[in-house]
Amino acid sequence: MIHTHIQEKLLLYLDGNLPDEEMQQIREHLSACAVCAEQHDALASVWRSERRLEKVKPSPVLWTRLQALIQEYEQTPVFVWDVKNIFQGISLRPIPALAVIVAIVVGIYLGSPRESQKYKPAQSVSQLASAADELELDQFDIIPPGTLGSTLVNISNRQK
Amino acid sequence: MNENDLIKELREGNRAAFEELFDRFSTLVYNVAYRMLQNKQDAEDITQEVFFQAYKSLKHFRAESQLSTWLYRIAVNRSLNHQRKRKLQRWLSLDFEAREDSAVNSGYPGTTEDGLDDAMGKKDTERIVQEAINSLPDQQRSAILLHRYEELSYEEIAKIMGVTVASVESRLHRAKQTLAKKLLPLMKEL
Repeated sequence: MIHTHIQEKLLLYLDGNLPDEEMQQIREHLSACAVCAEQHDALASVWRSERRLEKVKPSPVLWTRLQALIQEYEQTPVFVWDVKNIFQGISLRPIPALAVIVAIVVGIYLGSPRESQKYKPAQSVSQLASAADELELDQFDIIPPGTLGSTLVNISNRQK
Repeated sequence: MNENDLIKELREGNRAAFEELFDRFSTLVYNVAYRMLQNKQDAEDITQEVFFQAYKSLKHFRAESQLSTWLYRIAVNRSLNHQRKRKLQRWLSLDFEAREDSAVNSGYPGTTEDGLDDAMGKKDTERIVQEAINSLPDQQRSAILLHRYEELSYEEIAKIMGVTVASVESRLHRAKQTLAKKLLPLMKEL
């Protein structure tokens, strides 16, 4: 535990970002602990050497591109520029994912039954009778007695 | 031309002054953007955006900070926005395996394939440190990049990031603790 506590502070130690007392404690620990001392040396070689990278100049054409952009900006009315910028920010890359999402939503909508298509059982005898009338059951089919169909026909006949 | 005169000329719309501004600070802006985005093309795009925004805003520049501070601020914010947009675009395009250009492959000095074993070893350590820094949260990463590579003071970083000095100290403290934890196991691989 002591080692972990020391090791996570090694970069702060290397940069001198700790209070004096803590710096002293770590210094003493490093002189006594070979493992932490080795890790200190490894970090020091990396942390200090990486800073020696040079600054890189941008491409020489960047100035030319910038001038062209400024010229276009100066020749375009402000509101046209603002509108153009709004649409320029929209990339075409999200379209495949959006298309999938839209397809799923449309599929769910088309797959779910319409209100008119949903089956609802008849709530009353008159509804049954009108259904029998609609289907003209007594005209075409011989309905075995004692069945639901014969009951429907009887109800319908009584209604008439 | 000293900075006050340059600002005066820029406010008056002097094109030569704007070119002077670009010459003085384009490398600075480009390197900040590259450090944050790890991609040459993106860094150039951001540099162009920064100076374009500067061009549009110069008449209103209040000179409460130095020009460099102002440009750093725009560069850091634009780079962070660009990175967030890129992540969102990658997610929306279902391109989960897209890989970013690494410092090794983008022609940044010290990261070329040429050289002796020493250069190769140096390239590995740079790559490891850069990857560790890239994995930090945005605010910590920005603070570390500005402090370490641009060698800015805590006060300057605080002005750039629009926070207090104490906040910068706290971000750098946490960033270095996190980096130490990430780097130590990786050092064993080298």
